Amino acid sequence: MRMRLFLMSCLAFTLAACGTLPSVSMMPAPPGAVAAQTTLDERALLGVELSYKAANSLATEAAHAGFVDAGLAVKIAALDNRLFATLKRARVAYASANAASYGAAIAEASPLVSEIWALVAGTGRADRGR
Amino acid sequence: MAVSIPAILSILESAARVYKQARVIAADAALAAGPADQAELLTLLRRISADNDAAHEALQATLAELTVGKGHE
Repeated sequence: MRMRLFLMSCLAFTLAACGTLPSVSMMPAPPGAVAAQTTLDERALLGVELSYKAANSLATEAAHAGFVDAGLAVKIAALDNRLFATLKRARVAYASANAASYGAAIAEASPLVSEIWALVAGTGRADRGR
Repeated sequence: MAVSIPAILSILESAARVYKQARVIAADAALAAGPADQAELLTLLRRISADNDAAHEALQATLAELTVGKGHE
């Protein structure tokens, strides 16, 4: 009788313990996937920094090559200032781990980069200003 | 439309610099997208941020020179 009670309690404890095990979906991801996930923020900020670098160097060289007149210089300067301010906001948000403003700054940067590209790319066209 | 030889050379030099910059940016982008760990990414981030700070100042100075005396200051 005592042996049966002992076995039953062992079974009960074993079943109870099983309930506390994490399900398969709650198991941690493989180390490679975790590493990629934890560096996503750095990679996103690098993407914005590199986009700024590309837009900046294109605008700089267009100006040096004589494709930028005074009126266009004012427009490019304003856009470059806006993009750089957005880049700085993204840096601050990254440093302070502010996910909301980080995401907003990154989303805001992309169209500004496109605007600078479009403006500078148009400088080499013969029909510019028509 | 007559374009002087120095003007053509200047454009070619600029195109060469853009090409070189594009190669540097592509190499950095490959590093950023590759299997780098967080420390490597932060090192890259610090270098590119410093480059961009200097490049922003330089571009603003260049553009300001173009507007001086043209009524756009």
